[in-house]
Formats: sequence, C-alpha cells, structure tokens
Amino acid sequence: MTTKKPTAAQAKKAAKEFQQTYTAIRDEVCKAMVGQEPVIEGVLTALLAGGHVLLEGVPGLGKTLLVRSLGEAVDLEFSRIQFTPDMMPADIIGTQVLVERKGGGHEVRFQQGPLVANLVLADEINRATPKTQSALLEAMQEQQISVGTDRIDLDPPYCVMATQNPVEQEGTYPLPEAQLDRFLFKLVVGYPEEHEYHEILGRTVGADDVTLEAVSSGKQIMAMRKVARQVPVPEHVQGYAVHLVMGTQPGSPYAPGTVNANVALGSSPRGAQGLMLAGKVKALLAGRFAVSSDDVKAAALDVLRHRVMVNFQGQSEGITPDDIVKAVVQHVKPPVEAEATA
Amino acid sequence: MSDLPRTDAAGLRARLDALADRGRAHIEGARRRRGLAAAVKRLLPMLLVVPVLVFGIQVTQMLHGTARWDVNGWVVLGVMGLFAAAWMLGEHLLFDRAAPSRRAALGLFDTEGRFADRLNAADAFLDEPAPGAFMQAAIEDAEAFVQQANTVRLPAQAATFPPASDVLRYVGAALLLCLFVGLVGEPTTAGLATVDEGAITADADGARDSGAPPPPNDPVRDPTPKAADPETERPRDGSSDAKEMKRAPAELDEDAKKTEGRTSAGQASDAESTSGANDARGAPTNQGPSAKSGKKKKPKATKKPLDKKPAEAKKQEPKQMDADPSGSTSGRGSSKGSNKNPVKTDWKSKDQVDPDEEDEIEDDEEVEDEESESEARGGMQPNLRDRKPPVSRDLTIGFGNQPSPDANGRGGPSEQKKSRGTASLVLGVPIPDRVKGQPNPGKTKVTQERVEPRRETAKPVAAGARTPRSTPIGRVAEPSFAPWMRDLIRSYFLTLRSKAPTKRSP
Repeated sequence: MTTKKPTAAQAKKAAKEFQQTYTAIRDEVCKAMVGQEPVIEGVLTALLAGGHVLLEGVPGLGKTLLVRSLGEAVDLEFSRIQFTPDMMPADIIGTQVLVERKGGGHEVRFQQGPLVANLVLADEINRATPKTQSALLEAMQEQQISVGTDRIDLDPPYCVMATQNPVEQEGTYPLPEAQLDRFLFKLVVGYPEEHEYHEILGRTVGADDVTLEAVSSGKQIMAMRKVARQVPVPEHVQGYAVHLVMGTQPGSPYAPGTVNANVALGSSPRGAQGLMLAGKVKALLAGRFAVSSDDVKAAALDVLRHRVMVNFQGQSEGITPDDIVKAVVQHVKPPVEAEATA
Repeated sequence: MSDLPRTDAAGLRARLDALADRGRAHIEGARRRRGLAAAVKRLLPMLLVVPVLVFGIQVTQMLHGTARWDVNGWVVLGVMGLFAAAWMLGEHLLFDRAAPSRRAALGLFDTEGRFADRLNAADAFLDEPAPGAFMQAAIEDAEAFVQQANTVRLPAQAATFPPASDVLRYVGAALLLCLFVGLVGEPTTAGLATVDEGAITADADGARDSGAPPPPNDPVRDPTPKAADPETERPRDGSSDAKEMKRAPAELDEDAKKTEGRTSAGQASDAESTSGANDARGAPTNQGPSAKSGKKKKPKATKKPLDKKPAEAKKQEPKQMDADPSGSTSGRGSSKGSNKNPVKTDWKSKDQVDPDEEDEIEDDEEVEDEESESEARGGMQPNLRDRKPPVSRDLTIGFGNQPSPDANGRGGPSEQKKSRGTASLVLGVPIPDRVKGQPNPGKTKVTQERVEPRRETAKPVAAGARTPRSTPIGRVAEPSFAPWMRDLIRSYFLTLRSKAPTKRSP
C-alpha cells in the first residue's frame, strides 16, 4: 500500500482554505463582537492551534459574548461554568445519580457536567477553590475526564476559555502555575475605543437581535489544526523560540538583567511549544508556508506572560510579567539578526 | 524535490549563493566600520595614558624632592602618537575576521526586504533530503522574493563613531597635558637655580647690613636658603614663580638700601664697629635678624606683585622713621647699655622681646590655627607646612668640620672652633611663608533656645451640607498592596540592597 505524498500545490490549497475559513469565522464573530480584534484573533488562533485561552479583563467587556459567539460561528457545543468558591469538582465534571429504570428498579448513572462540551467558558475561574480548579487539569491536558473507574473522552475540538477579573482579588484563588501553564494564551481584554462604544450601543440596545450563523464545524476546525501542524519551522526560527523561552528563566545565558533580578520562575518547554504552534497559525494566516521569527515574536507576549512568575522583589517594584516578556523580546534577537549585527 | 525540477532548484540555489555573497560583503564592510569605531572609542581614553604617566612621574618627583625629570612636550606628544599608532595596529591585528554565515547574509535581505525569513527558510529547505509539501511550497514561494532581493538596496550600517565633542575633549586634554608636562619640565630647574641665587643674594645683603663679613659658606646661615626649600619644592606654575623668585633679590637690595638710609645716623658709631668684642656679641645677633628678615621679606617678595611693593614701602617708611628715628635708636641703645644689641637694626632679637609682646601672641595663634586647620581637614591630610627642615643643631662656625682655608691664626677667618656664648643659643629657625586665616568657614555655632510648649486655640470648623459630586469618580484602581505595605516592602528592599548589593547580569 503506497500513500501519495501531498504536493506543494495541495499545501498551497490547504493554506488558502485555512485562511478563508479563518476569515469567515472571524467575520461572523465580529458581527456580535465590536472591536477587540486582537483578542478575537488570539482566541481563534488558540482554537486552531489546539490550545486553551485565559482571558483577563474587568467585567462587561464582552468576554462571555466572544466565547459564545465563537461557539455559534463554529457550530460547537458550548457550555458556560460560573465558578464560585463553594463549587465542587463534581459540579463541573459530573456525578453519579440514582435514576429509575424503565422496567422498574434503580440504577446509578453518570450525569456529565458542563465540562463535557467542545467549547467551555470557565467564567471567573479564579473564584473557584484549587480543588475545583484542578479538576480542569485533566480535561485541558488529556482531553478526558476520569470519574471513579470510568473515563470519558471529550470530543474534539476541545477548548477551555477561562476568564478572570484582575481587579477583585479578595476571596479569590489565583491559578496555580501548573494550571496556568496549560493555557496556550493569556489575552488581556481592554476597554473599547470611543467609536466602538457607539457601535456597541447601536447593536445591543436596539430592537434588532444579532443572530450568528455557523460558518464552520468542529470537523473543519480539526482539519485546520492538522494543516497548521504541517507548517515547517526553519532551524533558526526554532532556535529563536528556544532562546526566548530560556530568556525568561533566571540564570540562563539569554536572560536579561531584569529577569535575573525579578523573576522567580520562567517559562517551561510548554512555552516553546506554544510559540511554535501559534507561529504556525500566524504564518498560514499571513500567507506563508514556513514560520518566521516575526511570527514567533508576535506570539511571545500572549504565550509567555502567564508562564513567568515575578518574585517578591519584582512585585514590590511594580514589575509585571508583561514588562518581563517585553524586556526578553527586546534583549533576545533572532539568531540571524544577531549574527548580522555582531 | 518532487515538485520542483532539479534545474529550478539548482538555479534557485545559485541565485541564493549570489545573494549570500553580496550579503556577506556588506556585513564584513559594516563589521570593519564598527570595529574601527570601537577601536577609536577605546583609543580616546588611552591617549591620556602617556601624558598622565609622565605628569604623574613629575608630581611624584616633586613630592619626594628628587631631581625632576625634564621632558619636552613635543617628545611626550611624539610618544603619544606612537602609542596611538601601536594601539590601532593591535586593534587591527586582533580584529575578528571570521566570515559571516550564509544564514546571516540571507537574513540581511530578509530583514531589509521584509520577506519574513522566506529566503532563509527556502535555503534551509533546499538542503532537506525529503522536503514536505509545505517545504516545497515555501521554496516555490521564495522564488519571487529572490527576484525582489536582487533589487533590494542594502543600507549602509552606520558605525557609531564617538561624537566629535568626545574626540575634541580627549585629544584636547591630551595635548594640554603634553603642553603642561613640557612647561613643568623645562623651567623647573631654572626656577630652582634662581631661588638659590636669590636666597644667597638676600643673605649676602643681609649680612652686609649687619656689618659682619659674609663668609663664603656659613653653615649657621644655611637655614635661610634651606627655609626656601619647602617652598621651592611645592608645585607651582614654573615660569611666573620663577620670575617672582628672580625679583626677590632685587627687592631685598632695595630694602637693604632703605635700612641703610634709615639707620645712617644711629648706626654710625655702633653698627659699623668691627671690634673683636662687638664681633663676638654682634655676629650672633646679626645672624638672627638676617634670618628673620630673610623669612619675613622673602614671602612678601614671592607673594605680592612688584608694583605694590614700592607703594607699601613708601607708606611704611615715614611711619618707621617716626617710630624709630636714628637718634632715638642710638639713645635707646646707650640707655640699655647696648650690651645685648649693640647693632642698630629694625628688628628685635628674641632676648629683647617681652613675653607678652605681639610676636609671641601671634606664634600662639599660629599654633592654634594649625591645629584647627588640621581638625578641619579631618586629620586626613598632613599639614604641608610641617614640612620644615630640621633645625640645624650645628654649633660650629666656619666651614663645618672643615678648617677655613683662609685661617692664619691671627684673627679674621679662624680655624675650626666651637661657638660659645649667645651665638650658640640663637636658633635660626626658618618660618615658612604662610597666609593667615582658616581654609574653612570655621566652626558653626549652634544656639539652642528652650521654648515652653504653649497652648493654641483653633477656630471651630463650620459644618455645611455636602453637595453632590459634579464629576464621575471614574474607575478607582484597587492596589494589591496597601500604601503602608508597599512602603514597608520598598524600604525593606532598599535596606537589603544597600547592605548587600546583588550582582546582576547586564
């Protein structure tokens, strides 16, 4: 049995379809969502790269609307979990319930929780206890849920989009590093521009409801993920991604002084994986067939900001993880550029 | 290379080779310029090494009082030029001539043409034994960009040479140092010679005033020229001081002439007596004043400009004439028996001065001043005025231990003999020139006033109705730390850093 190798023409066609589908989904989401283009692109990139997203922003900026719109546009099963401090893992995973049989008698049956879906919005995830938060770990990483001796495989594509409020920290449980590391992106949702306010009011306060159509499907998303994985990465670009990740680790040869002084924990290899995956999607969206250093650089802030833990000294100086990542990106040059200017 | 024909791949590789060669040449040129700029930047401070070294040697020699190293400024300049040439030669030899990689050369076109690493990616994928579909697509995609790369004009990478102000500053400083070293080196020996001549001339004049025959090398009179040594050893701007030192003997001659004119009547009988008894008593007393006059007049000669001197002399002359008329001097001398001061001069020897007179008070003040100045300097710097030569304890008169060559045993210059009597008790202690006063503002007096606390009454505040807020309060940021916590943490780290500074990588 011989398998026919894909040709360059097929690759070009797949890349073109990738771009078209992406544009269609984005346009559909933008019908409901006003502004926030970088956040929409980030969420879509994470979905196509096969990662999860942590959205951070104050209430009322449309985080929930964005995720729900995405679910409608892609025709994915969407569920929303509002995390509270008294929530238990069983509340999100599911639990065994006693049900009556048709023929008489009772039986214990597993009633799945809201975590079993394609697109899960974990609203205010930092309000849940660590016990409940950790219930997400297996689902996010392994895309399966273990309940007793049973195992439930989650249907692909599976994407968790969690939100957290950066302001109200009273009575919250900051996500542990192990869980933060499982998010591909951490996107910061900001306030809309002035002209966007008028658009938001026009769309939401009027009599007309915005209805979204499914322009894609879960199967198509999985195909796009497969295409994205095929994008090759030149050696020097991969080296640049590795240098960036090492640059966040205090004591490494690529770390700038601010990292050595103010960082307690740098990025793990998952950060490099995230840079590569995000770079591949960005390269395809830019109409290229190989990842460039610019793609890696563009994804660096979203991929690395939640993987860097600022130490006590840095916190007292008011240094944020964003400052650290920006300093690393500025300090670590792509190998080609560094050699040319050496 | 299933999709891409072999000839196309070879052609693309050849075009990439040409681009790489062009890029390499550009990078090498830029590296050379940067290397030159860096070498110049490193050289600039090094220019100061030679003149500073020579100047340091000269200063050290001055401080230690050894023979000074006279160096011509042009020689220093020449050595500095040779040093700069050697430095640049060393930089040239140590310059890294490793050829830039092909990746860096192609990356230059990728960056300048904004090709997003297309050329480098294609070049890397061309070497793959079994490129995938996307690799082939990337290679095909790069074809068009290789064409564009041929038209890309690589910008000249400007090397950051040190700014002209820095160059001027360093070169100017080096030239000035050369000039200074040359100036210090050349006239120093002349200045020293002039000082010695002046001191000797002054001594000779002083001795002529006193009437004592000036022996050619009087060891007792040595303190006077020695007294000038600490001053001559101090650093100075050679030429001006040397000129002033040259002027000193002339002024001394004038003063001596004035003294002679003033005392002409009173001195007629006593001062010019050359009897043996008078010699025995008068010679020692004359040595004192001559040393003292040397001490007091020379500083004036060196410190004050020449044009002020005659005016002051004119002012002082009538006063002195009033205070010490020649007749009164002779009368006083006779009333006191003139056995202590048989020679009329305008100074008083130590044994004539009462303890409560001004000189002694001034001496006490000087000692206090020295102590206070030393305290003001925190005791960190030594008082240079203490650098006096040790007081000569040599009590011999004549030629030290050597017998006088003119001795004939019949009076006049005698053989080696030990001085006895008053002459051995009078010490010719030189007092170096100094300006009175404190070098610092002095002690600060702090006055503390005790004030009893008093009770104050404040007016009651009239309470009024609160008006509603006119503007929205906006979003109030909630800090993660309370202000006092933040301050506490900040102060803790500041203290921690000040105690043990952590080493940070750049």
